[in-house]
Parts: sequence; C-alpha cells; structure tokens
Amino acid sequence: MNSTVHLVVQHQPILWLEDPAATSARRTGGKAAALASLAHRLPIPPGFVVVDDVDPIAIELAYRELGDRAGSDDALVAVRSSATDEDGRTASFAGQHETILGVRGIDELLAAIEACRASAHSARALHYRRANGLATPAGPLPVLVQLLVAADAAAVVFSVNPVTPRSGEVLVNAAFGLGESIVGGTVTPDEWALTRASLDVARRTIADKRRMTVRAPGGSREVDVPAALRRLPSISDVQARRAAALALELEDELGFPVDLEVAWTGDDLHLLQCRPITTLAQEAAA
Amino acid sequence: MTTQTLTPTPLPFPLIWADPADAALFWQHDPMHFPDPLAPMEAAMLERTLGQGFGYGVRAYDAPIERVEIRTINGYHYQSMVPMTGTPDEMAAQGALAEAAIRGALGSLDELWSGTVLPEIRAHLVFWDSFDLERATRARFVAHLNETWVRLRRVWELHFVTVLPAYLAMSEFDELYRGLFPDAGPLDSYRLLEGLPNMTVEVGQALWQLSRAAIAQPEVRDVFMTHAAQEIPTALYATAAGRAFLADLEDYVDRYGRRADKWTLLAPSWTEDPTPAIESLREFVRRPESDAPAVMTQAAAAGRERAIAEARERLAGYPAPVVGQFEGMLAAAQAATVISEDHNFWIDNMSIHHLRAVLLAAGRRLVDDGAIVLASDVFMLDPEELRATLAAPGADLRPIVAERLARMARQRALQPPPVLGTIPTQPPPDDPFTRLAMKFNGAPPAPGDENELRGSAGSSGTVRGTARVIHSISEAGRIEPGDIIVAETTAPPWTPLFATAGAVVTDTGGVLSHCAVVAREYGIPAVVGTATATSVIADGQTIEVDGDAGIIRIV
Repeated sequence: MNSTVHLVVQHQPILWLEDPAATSARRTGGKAAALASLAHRLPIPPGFVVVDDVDPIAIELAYRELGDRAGSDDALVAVRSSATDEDGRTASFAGQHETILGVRGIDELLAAIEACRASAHSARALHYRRANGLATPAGPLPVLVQLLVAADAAAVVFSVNPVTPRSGEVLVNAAFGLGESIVGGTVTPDEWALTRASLDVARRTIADKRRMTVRAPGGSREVDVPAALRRLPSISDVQARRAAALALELEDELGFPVDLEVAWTGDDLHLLQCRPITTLAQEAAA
Repeated sequence: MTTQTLTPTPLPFPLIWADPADAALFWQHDPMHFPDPLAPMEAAMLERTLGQGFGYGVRAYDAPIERVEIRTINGYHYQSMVPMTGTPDEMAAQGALAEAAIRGALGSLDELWSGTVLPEIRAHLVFWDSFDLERATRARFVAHLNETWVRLRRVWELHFVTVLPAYLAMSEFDELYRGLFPDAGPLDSYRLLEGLPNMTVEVGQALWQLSRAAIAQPEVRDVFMTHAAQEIPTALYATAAGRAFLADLEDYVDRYGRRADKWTLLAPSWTEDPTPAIESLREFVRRPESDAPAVMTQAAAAGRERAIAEARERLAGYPAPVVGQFEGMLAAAQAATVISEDHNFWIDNMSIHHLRAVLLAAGRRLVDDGAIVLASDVFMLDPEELRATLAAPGADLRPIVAERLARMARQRALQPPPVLGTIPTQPPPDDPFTRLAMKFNGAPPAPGDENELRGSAGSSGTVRGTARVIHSISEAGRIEPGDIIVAETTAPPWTPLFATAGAVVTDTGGVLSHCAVVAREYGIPAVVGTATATSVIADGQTIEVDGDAGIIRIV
C-alpha cells in the first residue's frame, strides 16, 4: 500500500470500496475493510463508506454516482453499520447493528445512515460489546452503502463446518430472496455439506422454506414463499459448489476460516460479506 | 368435513341403498348441475359421460382418488369421490405423481385444448352433423345410436382431461396470488383473468350485432318493439326485410344455438326453440349503444391489464423463481379461464344437444311403431330398452312411460339432502383437488343475520334491485334491466341475461362456478352458493347484493 495515497485520502469522509484507503479497518470498520480488500477482483456490489460526519451534499453526490453505475436515478441500496472493531476475528456483530435494505432516494439514505449510527449505541449493541469485552465506540460509526443486489437466492457459507469443525466440510445454507431471513433465523435454509478436499456434495437437505426477504418500496419485507416453491432447491449444486470454492479461496488467502454471505442474481454470484468464523476460536479456547 | 342441512323444511327422503356397500361411502348431491329429478335416459347419460369421464380424468392425472361413483337416488344425482387409502409413504408417492402430472398439464393447457382436444371434439361433431337421422335405414340408425354412446363417452373423457387441469390452474393461481399478497380480497386474483375473448362472450356479442342490425331496419325494429318473443318469427315473415333478418337469425341459431337450458336432455336446444335467444334479442334491441357487451369486455380487459401491471410492480423486488412461478401460473390461469367457457360451448352443450337429437329421432321411430305417444317419451326409457325396442318393434311401452312420468312428478316434490351415506370424520385434505372442489361447488355458507343471506363472494360490486326468482330460461322475459336474477343455478345458455341483469344470486356454486365466472366477465355483482336464496327470497322483493362480502340484504 502506498503511504502517499493514504495521506491524500485521509481527510476524505467518504471512501469508495475500490479505494485502497478503504481497506483500513481503523478507518472504514471491519466489515467494509474486508470487502474493500477484495473489491478489485471479486464480484462485490459497488458502494462507499461514510467514514465521518459529513455534509449531506457529499453523501448525495456519492449516491448519485452509485446510481450512475447502476443506471438508475434513485438506486436501491443496502445500508449497514461497519463498526471499526466489527467483523474482527474475535467477535461477530451479526445482526447486532442495524442493517437497512432497500433504501431509495437521498432522504431515505440520510435517515438510514442516522439510524445505523444510533443503533451502535443501542442497549442491545452496548450489551453485546460489554459481553465481548469491546470498548464503547467513541466517534461516528462507519456506515457502508452498497447497491442492493436483486437477489434470487442468498446463502451463508462456512469454510469450516462450525458445528463439526473436524468433519472436513464446507457448509452452504441457502434460501430464496435476500439473505436476511437466513441470518435472522426466520427460515430453515437448504443445506449443502461439501467436502473441503474435492468439493463433492456429501449431503444435501432441501428444507421447507416458508419465508423469504424481498426488496420492497421503502425497504425490504419478509413474506411467505409460494407453496409451490417451498420445497424446491433455492440454488443448484453448481451454485453451491461455486460458493464453497470461493469460501476456501478466501480462507486460504486470509489465513483463517471464513463465514461469507453471498447472493445470486440469476447465475451471477455477489459477495456481500466476509468475516472470520468467531465461534471456532471460542470453541478452541473452551 | 362438516356439513349442515340448510333446507328450511326438510321433507322425508326415503333411502334404500341399491348396493348395501354404498352406505359406507360419502355421497354429495350436485344441485348446481342437476337440481331436478333425472329421467332414466339422463341417469344413463350421466353414468356414461360424467361417471366414466370423471374417472378417466382422475386416472389420467394420478389424482389421489380411488374411483368416482355416481348414483341416482330417488331420481336425484349423487356423486362420491372415493379417496385413495394407503400408508403415508404410498400417499406421499401418489401426491408427488399427481403434482408432476398436473404441473406438466398446466404448462401446456392451451396446446392441450387447441392442439389436441378441440380438433378431436370437432371430428366427433362432424360425425353427428353429417348423419341424416330421419332418412337412415333402421339398421344404420341403430348403428349410429350405438356409436353415439361410444363417442359420447370419449367426448366426456376429453372433457375431464381438459377441465381438471384448467380449473386447477385457476384455483392454484388464486392460492398463489393470495399467498403473495396476503391483503388481497377473495375476488382480487380473478381480476387478472377477466375480459379475455371466449365463446360465451362471442355468443353474446354476435347477438348484440343482430340487435343493431334489427334497429337499422325500421320494419324489423317495429316487430321487436311491438311483439312478444314467441310471435316475433311470424311477424318478421310478413315483410321482405323481416324475412332477410329471419335468415340471419337462423344463421345465428345454427351457429351458436346447439345448447339446451341447463345440463338436461329434457330441455330443447335453441335450434329447436329459439325463443330464449329471441327474448334476449328483444331486450338488446331496447338497449342503447353504450350497453354493448364489447364495452363491458373492453372495460374488463383494461381492468385486467391494470391489475396485472400492479401485481408485477409489487413483485419487482422478488426472486426470479417467484416471479417466474407467478408469470407461469398467470398464463396457465388465463388460458384456463378461456377454456372454462369454451369447453361448455364445444363439449357440454354440443354433446348433450346431439344426444338429444339422436334420441328424439329414435323416439319418432318408436312413435311410428306405436310403442310410445310422444317422441320425448324416449327419455323415460333406459338405453337397453330403447335398443331392444328399435331392434324388435311391437312392444307397447306406454304403461312404463306413464308410470315413470308419474314417479318423476312425485320425486320433484322431494328435497334431496346435500349429503348422504357416511360423512367423513376427518377434515378434507388440503390438496389442490380438494381446494378446487371447494371453489367450484362452494363451501357451506355461514349463517347470516336476520334479513341477511350469506353465500360466497362471486363477482365484485354492490347493487340494489328487484329480485326475480327464475327456475328456467323460459322465464327470461320477466327480467327487466337492473333486476337481480335469483336462481338455483345458471347454465351457459343463460348468459345473455347477464347483460340485462343488475346482479345475480344462486343457491349453488363457488367462486369458480360458471355463474361467478360469467358475472365477472359482464362486470355485475354475484353472490353464489347461498343454498337457500330461491326459497328465502320472494319474487319482486327489493334486495341488495354485496358481491365482495358474499351477502344479500333484504331491504
């Protein structure tokens, strides 16, 4: 990394994911930094990080530029917190900070960023931080703004099966729509267990998937899956294998087992999140 | 399944099972299609059409139904769908087979109907149309009669091969729509299926065109303005313009008139007695251009496209497999809506019309033989008796006919219970076939408040008007514009009346019944399956029909 670039961008309150400066977890938070370090070569939805308090005009300009890339005047975006110590190797903040999907227009965006920051100080988040020995955040929370993927299906991928770490399996949990129903535990996902050695499908369990998260005006909504689709596989074996391969590749590169969130539009895979599997370290310690 | 007897004053219905084993089955009366006692020939017809055809359709789609039995009990038609039994694994395997069969059919409904079924139906119709019933030798006539029964059975196999997936498509589209949009009302999904061109609409529009032609000719118009329906043909014959119009009317009846009133052999086709068509025409002549059926169809089509656009917009953020499922089911349900009307025209009406024509010709031969008095007495015989008498003339069937006519008259006074036999203790299974049956036949209505009658929502809108309780299409002349038709059931030939009526209320049927489908096409409110409307509502009473809530208020 070039230090002069660092100096030049240091005062920029908004950093694009492909900007090398965005790879600094101290500046953009763990979640955004992890994505930024992969943005130049992996299919990560374009986006920017609002690092500091900033003039709304600057956010509006960035939002417009993002819209230009999507070919839309009022692009649908996902707004997520990226606390500087979040997605670190010791604690996963999954669901602990606000994620707001399906945000459209500058007014909604400014409100969503505000809501995300407020959630960093919510009782639930503070409790989680105390329980995991993390400091209460001082400055404004970095907030990640990305184009919202038109997800036909989404999956959470564990490069090591967190339940049976020694089984030598990659685990793929997939369901229809956006990933929120999987992460939030409101749907029982389809599950693929693939061998780490050769990515053969060791087990495939197609679940009765009753709920899904869809993009909807004013945000996202969780709705019922039509009965005819509930017991159909949400993704193909080929898609599961491709996601598992990505997880192993990232594990190899980063040097620790990873937990990914991915989504598909048709056959196009998008990487939405990449973080260490924190429960493995705890289990090893226990 | 919980059932209730909703007849206001139950009359004794003597029950002696023809086969003691029948007592163990669950029998349902079908007043929507067969409200009246059946003549012996009709009972035989139903055995060979409905009984054989339904069973064939059920097997063709691997439905979890063991067999379909039909019986005539005290003259009334009863039907039993005997469910398949087996281990849970066997039942699950059968369910999977049925789903695969139905899914395959839903994907190619239009091809099934236009490409396979309709061409074969047309070939059967040519067989009947091209035979000279009067001049054929006795031997050739008997051969024609025998082949008529064989072909009729095949036509009704095709009927059920078509209607089972077609009605499943509409029913399952409704399920899908309400699953996707839980805030939807009971009729909302059907808005996406309205205003599509079909034979029912064509029959009405062609009659409307005739009414415009009548208005354009002052001599013709005067006849329609000053004569009762029965007198109109004679009055038309008096002028040259009238005679030209009469020729057009005959063309119309020849083309669209092979249809009887309700599903019975006993009622004449329009080709025999065009009075019902002339009655509707007489009414149309009095209506302004703005009442043209095409105007209503266009409005329905515009409403349909709006509803589709709205649904697509709401699904914009949904996963592609869900959108694909919606689009696929929408296309199948739209094709099915057209088929649900067209099959009535091409199969139900035409096949019963031709069987009636062949049987009446047989009846005329028996009259010549001195075996019966009227050609229509032939309907009091069963097919074996008819065959034997045609083969060996000389028998005197007049006493048998008289006895059976008297028996039918006695049966008419009976009130057939909605269900007989062994009522299932378990609730009906939640499978596509059962859901369809509920929507076609209607669920038992909920009890209403005083001065209120409940049924199923059939077609949207609220209207107030004068109730006209009518039992057959011959009473069509009593319906003034805006009147509310109150009937046990409405058969396809009644549809031109929907252009005049303000609303329609029936005793029988559900949201997918013919009456509800046509009411939605014509954009008039309908409440169906009230069980008791024709006995509770008095002719001439002012009533309010709320088609969305399924409620009739007596004002």
